[in-house]
Amino acid sequence: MNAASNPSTVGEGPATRRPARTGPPLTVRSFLPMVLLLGVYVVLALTNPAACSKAAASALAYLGEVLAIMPGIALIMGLFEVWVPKALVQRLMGQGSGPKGVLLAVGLGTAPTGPLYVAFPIAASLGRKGASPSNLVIFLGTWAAVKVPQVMMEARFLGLRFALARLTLTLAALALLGPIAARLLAGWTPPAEAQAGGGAPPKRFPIDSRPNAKGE
Amino acid sequence: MSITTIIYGLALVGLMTTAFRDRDKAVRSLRIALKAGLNMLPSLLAVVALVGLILGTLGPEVIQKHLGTDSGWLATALAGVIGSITLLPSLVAFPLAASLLRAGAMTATVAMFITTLTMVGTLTAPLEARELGLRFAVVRNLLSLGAAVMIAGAMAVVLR
Repeated sequence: MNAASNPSTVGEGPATRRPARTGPPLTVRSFLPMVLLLGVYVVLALTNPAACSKAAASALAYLGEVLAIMPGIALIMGLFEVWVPKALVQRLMGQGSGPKGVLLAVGLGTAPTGPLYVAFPIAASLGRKGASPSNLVIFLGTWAAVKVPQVMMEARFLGLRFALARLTLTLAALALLGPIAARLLAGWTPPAEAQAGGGAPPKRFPIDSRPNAKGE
Repeated sequence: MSITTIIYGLALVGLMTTAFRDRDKAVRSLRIALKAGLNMLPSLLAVVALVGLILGTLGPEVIQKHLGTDSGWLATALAGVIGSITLLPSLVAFPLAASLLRAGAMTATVAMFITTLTMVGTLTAPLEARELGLRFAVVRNLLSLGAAVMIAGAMAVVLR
């Protein structure tokens, strides 16, 4: 079943069969910012207990939201890395993908809802697969601002005229932002993998010890 | 159907299909997912702690006090600053924006607040820089801030 390398995936084998990128190990140091912030909480608890409990309550509510959504996003990222060949993303959303790439970026950005920070790792995955920086800026912009449920809520609270005017202006602004971002981010490449630990080599090629995993 | 349901539904169907067709691929995708999740965890926790601090000290009431009554472009600029540094769920943000309008804030101020709130993220910038690089995060946030200024100005003209 596993032989006959999947004909369904577009593109050539090696790109598809890229081994899992090895990220930096989790170190104690990566938790330092959080520990410092907890210190701020302690200081706040001593000086202004009311504000501290309010802050803690909002943080906990927010934490629940984050923890509920992040594992799902990670799973989808894993599937994306394994199934979508680099050549495909490069062709559809890379440099010179033109209006088609922009449309795809808008489509991908509008499709799901969810906070913007969820989209960062997704954008990074797309970037590592060869999507151009301007398309990523457009993708993140539409993710942030152009979502059907959000526009509906805006219309309900602020009026249809306000919501539609702001939506139209936002789309126009994003159309402007794309080319500007392309110029400002010329030559940009995404970090090979989040760089915290410093262990990850800058090389962006298969570095796994067993390149041809199971005898194929 | 909530976004969470959709995401997990997609992930589950995708994983099952993958496992059915190619067990090896499924294992590899799980490994990537685990690694990505663990790598994001520390900065996510830090952002969560920071958001709590900001919301605890700069809640909706405080925002309304500062942006509500005072009209004028200074309030618009302040709306941009507040919108850039706060993270509010849209369920809180839109009622708040509506109350700002009712309290006498300019359209531009409210547009500025919502646009920066959604598109500019100072609190999440470290997360963005970690995933996409510092240069990308700075450029994107500054461009979005510029866009918010233009949108706010245009809103004042369009909806007078």
